[in-house]
Amino acid sequence: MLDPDISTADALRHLSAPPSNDPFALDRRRFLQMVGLGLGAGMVAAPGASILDLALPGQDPSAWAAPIGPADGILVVVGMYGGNDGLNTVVPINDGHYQDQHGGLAVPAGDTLPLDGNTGLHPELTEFKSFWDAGQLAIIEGVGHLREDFSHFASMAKWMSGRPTGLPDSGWLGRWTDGYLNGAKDLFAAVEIGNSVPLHVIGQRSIATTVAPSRPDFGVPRSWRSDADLSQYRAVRAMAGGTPAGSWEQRIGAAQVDMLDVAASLNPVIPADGGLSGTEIVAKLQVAARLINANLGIRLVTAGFGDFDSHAGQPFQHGARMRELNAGVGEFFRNLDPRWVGRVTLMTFSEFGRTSFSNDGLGTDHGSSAPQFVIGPTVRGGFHGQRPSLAGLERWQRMPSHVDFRDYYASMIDGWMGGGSEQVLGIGRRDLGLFSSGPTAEITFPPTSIRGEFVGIAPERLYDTRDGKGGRTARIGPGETVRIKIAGAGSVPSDGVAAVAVNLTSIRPVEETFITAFPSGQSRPGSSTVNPRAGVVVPNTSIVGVGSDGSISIYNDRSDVHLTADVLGYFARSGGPSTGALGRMLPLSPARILDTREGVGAAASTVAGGQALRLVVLGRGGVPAGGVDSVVVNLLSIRPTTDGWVTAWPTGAPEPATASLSYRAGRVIPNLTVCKVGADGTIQVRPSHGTVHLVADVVGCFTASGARLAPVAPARLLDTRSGVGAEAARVGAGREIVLRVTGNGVPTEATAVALNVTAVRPSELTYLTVYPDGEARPTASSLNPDPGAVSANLVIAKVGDGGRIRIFNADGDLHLLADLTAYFV
Amino acid sequence: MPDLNEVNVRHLLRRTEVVDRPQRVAALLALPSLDAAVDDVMNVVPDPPTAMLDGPEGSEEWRRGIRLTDHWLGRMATAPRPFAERMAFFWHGHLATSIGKVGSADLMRDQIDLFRRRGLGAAGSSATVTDLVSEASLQLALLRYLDNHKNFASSPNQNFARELMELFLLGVGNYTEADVEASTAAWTGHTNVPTDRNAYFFDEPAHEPSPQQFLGRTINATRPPEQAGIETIEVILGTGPLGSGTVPLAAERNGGRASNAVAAEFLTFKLWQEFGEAATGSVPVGVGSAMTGALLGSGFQIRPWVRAMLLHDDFYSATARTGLVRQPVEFMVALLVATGLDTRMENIPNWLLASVGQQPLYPPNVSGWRPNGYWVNAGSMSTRQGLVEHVIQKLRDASWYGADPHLRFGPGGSQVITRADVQGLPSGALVDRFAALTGVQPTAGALAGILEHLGDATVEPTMRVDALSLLLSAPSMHIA
Repeated sequence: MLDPDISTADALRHLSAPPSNDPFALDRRRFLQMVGLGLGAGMVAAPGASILDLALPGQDPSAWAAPIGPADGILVVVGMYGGNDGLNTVVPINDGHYQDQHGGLAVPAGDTLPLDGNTGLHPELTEFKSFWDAGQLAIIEGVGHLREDFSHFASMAKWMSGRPTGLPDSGWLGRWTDGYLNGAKDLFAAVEIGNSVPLHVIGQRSIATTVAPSRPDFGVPRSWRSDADLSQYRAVRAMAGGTPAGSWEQRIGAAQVDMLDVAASLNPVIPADGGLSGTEIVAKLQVAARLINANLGIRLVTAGFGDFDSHAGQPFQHGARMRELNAGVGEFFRNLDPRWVGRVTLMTFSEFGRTSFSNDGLGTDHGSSAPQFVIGPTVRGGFHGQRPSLAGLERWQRMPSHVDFRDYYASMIDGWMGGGSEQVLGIGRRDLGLFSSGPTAEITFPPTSIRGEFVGIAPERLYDTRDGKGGRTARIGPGETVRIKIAGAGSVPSDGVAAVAVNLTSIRPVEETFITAFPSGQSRPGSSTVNPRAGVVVPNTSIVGVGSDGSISIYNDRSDVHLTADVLGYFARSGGPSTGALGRMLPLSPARILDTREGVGAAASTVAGGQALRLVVLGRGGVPAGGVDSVVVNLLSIRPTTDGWVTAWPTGAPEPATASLSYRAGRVIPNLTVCKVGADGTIQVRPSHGTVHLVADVVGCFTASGARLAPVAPARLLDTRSGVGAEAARVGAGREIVLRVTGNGVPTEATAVALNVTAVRPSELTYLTVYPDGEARPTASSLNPDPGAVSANLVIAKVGDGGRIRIFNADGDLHLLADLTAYFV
Repeated sequence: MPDLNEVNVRHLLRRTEVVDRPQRVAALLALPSLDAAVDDVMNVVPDPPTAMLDGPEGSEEWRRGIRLTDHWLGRMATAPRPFAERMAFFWHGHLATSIGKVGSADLMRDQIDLFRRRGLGAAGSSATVTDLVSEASLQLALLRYLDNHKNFASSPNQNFARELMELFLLGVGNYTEADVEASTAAWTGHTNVPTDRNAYFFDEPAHEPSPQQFLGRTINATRPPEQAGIETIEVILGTGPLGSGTVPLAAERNGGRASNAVAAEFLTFKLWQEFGEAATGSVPVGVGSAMTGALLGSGFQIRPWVRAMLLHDDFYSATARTGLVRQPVEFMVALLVATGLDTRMENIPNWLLASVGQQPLYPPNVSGWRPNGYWVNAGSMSTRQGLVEHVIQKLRDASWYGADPHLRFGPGGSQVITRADVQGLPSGALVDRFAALTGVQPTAGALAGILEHLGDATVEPTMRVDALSLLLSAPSMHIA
């Protein structure tokens, strides 16, 4: 699904700030040229000269950055500085020697996150556990350098240089970059997120670019005195212009102008302090993900943190580091645009492990080998290398290293980065076989083979963690990913199912969390499907691609939560011409076909629990008078007297035991639903308890002549918190976001998109209307978020002029996210 | 002999005393010759005060290290003749040692004090490179930083012996691996007391007793074993009884030349890059031969060597005058002096220095900091801008909004005005006033830029702050 021109499009999308906010807007080339005058990768120096002293004027920087190739992998290297205690990271839970030698520091087996019968992860590593469950975490055990050195300095020099002896003259990643660039100039081949350049990204001819983990702002209007700021920046430019040609003053002036331009350009990409974590590695990896999303041609990103040197007070210190590592990795992949997930692998390193024997101070001393992590879409999940035996170790003896750290590096270079380990690390390296394949340029279904025609069914519950339906009777835990079998379940056939329309309902978690539904076997995207809230029931319908194993995966981020899944229909694979089935989507501008407050579609009175309302759908709101299989309706429950749910089903069919919408006393709750139309052209809608007003907006229907569905891995098109798709600012009352939904993999012929729209903490009760650009805003609502909460709803949006839709916010202000899950074409 | 004029004097002061403070410019211009001016600059106190490391806010080594840094930067900004402090900073970058590995502020202070007292030497001092490197090599800071405290006959560690030749005295390619091994053997046994990691100790039983062939000389044979390491320095520099060694023909460069001549060129290149210019990547033949001649003719005395540089025409050439970018520490000191915060170092958090990439006591690696281009990029300029804004914020806190109606600028806050003095000034007069107060003269280009911002009318208070910010961050402010 990578658009041929995705690089430029993405770069522009990420690098362009709204005109009102960006007096120095640059095109990408100009931007790269500007950043290029910084500490840029790819500056080439003659032997013996320092590349850092290069005279820059006169060089043509236009070739200094190139988008990465379609099969290029991106490697993120996370340094754990100070020496990480591997035994407490990947815990040998049944090894009596471990308990004996680690003493009071040993992590109790019951606290760990079990990987197999003998191994548990440190309890903080929940994100790693879900990657393990998804088969995307490789643990390489027993990695070290074979000639032991217990000095931080010397050992780090070995790890960073990739050479076991001698004075380090360059780093292993730097030499890889040397070879990758082969003399070409490219500023963004390698980036260190930090304030200085570590040895491993210094090559013999190239050096990484540094990007500080903070939002640059000297260059954009910063305050109430924005006019004065702009004037001050003009003065900086004027001063630079007044410097003597060819002088260092001129270079300094040019660098100061670059500073302004870089700030203006990176400012929208990097969130402000409040938007970045206060934890060093988390903030660094948030920035790393954003830079990758901006597609600057990055192949390597490095970031490090510490301190892991736990000579004393280890339980607190190591626990904190594990928590930070876990949060950093989780945030990284959540911030990563899903379109890049198939291209990115993350690896860890540390200068050494720690001693198996604890010391007297509840700590451990400098050790030798340790396990390392590799997370990626094509990683062979599981254990690699060899776990060192603790049997027979004496007090000051270190565990043996079974994997030369250079073999670990070579496996990354050859398995993921396209080769070159011999040039970087010398001959004779062993490939550990960490990858099943290289990067996957296509991370979703090839569109031609999966366009699906909808088959509506009477709603069926396939999964309920409260009663074991679907095979599980426990709440879904924090960080856990479960699979729900779709193909072959209930009325869904076992073959040829491309995607499923499913209503997911989260039930009473202890605290706020979010749930992501995605095709099994694919990388978990950084999007959300349902936003469960503490103590209440929150539903949301989703259209989810079905993975190759016939399942969808459900990830829960934080709190234990019960979940039900009701299937409303499925999309059958069909590559050929119309089968004549009524399975194609006819998108409609939202039209209100029921409003019991106004007497639209039914009498003007509340509906009582148990009272079924028969709602005519054919021939209303743009729905054809015949030839319609199902309607897509956004149902709205308005201020019921008590909690309950609404069931919608085709007239004439038995009432199913499912919920189309769960409502709460006094609240306004929407949910999109797909309902098969009964033989008489009507559907039944029935609340369960209390009395309630009901509203229904029809947004589409399935007929013989519409568009077929193409599910995609969820992609975040809009995030006003960070400036993705729109200005990084809250959306005010009466304001509209105009969002282009085609491009970026969605063809211009697409007639509708399935978007999961999330409202983040509105300042007051409001409603959102999503409608096609170029049409009058209809009286309809797509989402009715509560103040202060995070709520989401699936929206089937008809695509308007220029591939754009509009999202209108009625009251207050809020942040908005939109995740694309499918389109209709 | 170069002329005694304002251009040359300002250049001399900026390079040796970091800032061309107005009263120093006036004092030197009153002297009869540039020769006398150089003598004045070098007329440093023989025994500058040492830093007090203990204080109320804690005794962790890093915190004590910050006190050492503050003291040192304060001396660079306020000492009547700060050249010894600046020269110590050169040696700190040359014999680079990090407290991060040494782990002791006391050991770092011992080393920095050695550099401050013997790195230039007061008038009449015959301090030599041999003495300086030898003394530093018997201090635990350097020994531990380069792992020589673990260099024993039974388990040799080459780190220190290798860097002594490669980075400190000779340069890579001017020795063979056999010389590294011989020197390593000579340096065995210099370690710490087993029960006190901060006390130096020569462990004679751990010393390798066998004679060694080093740069063509036999060492570790006749002198007491604890002097065998020093013997390697003497052979390299040709300052001991064995005379100068010879670069082996098997070495990659300079095979067959006397090692002291090679060392004199190597050291001269490093000094010239620090104080002359780092733009050309070489030393002009004239000043180069004057400097190496001074070293070789004096047994590697430091004062004649430095003096040869400061009195040579090449030092005052246009290439030299425009050929060095201020390192962050120099830029920081210049800011402190301009804003009168030089005596209030506590206002400058140490992390600001870390953010601009040059935190004293924390060199990035054993090869120290790099010059010029290393500091000229968007990211580095951005962090320097942060420094300027921080300093101005402190100035505002102290004067703009405080009870004291006075604004203080210049060395020691000696330039005192009231707010009324700058209120209502037209832009041109305001910039002139700030330039006089801070001692920072804008170039014509910078002045035009600032005036473009201020406009012609009377300058508003916030714009006055901007004017100061622009003055202090102008490109010429970043030139050494």
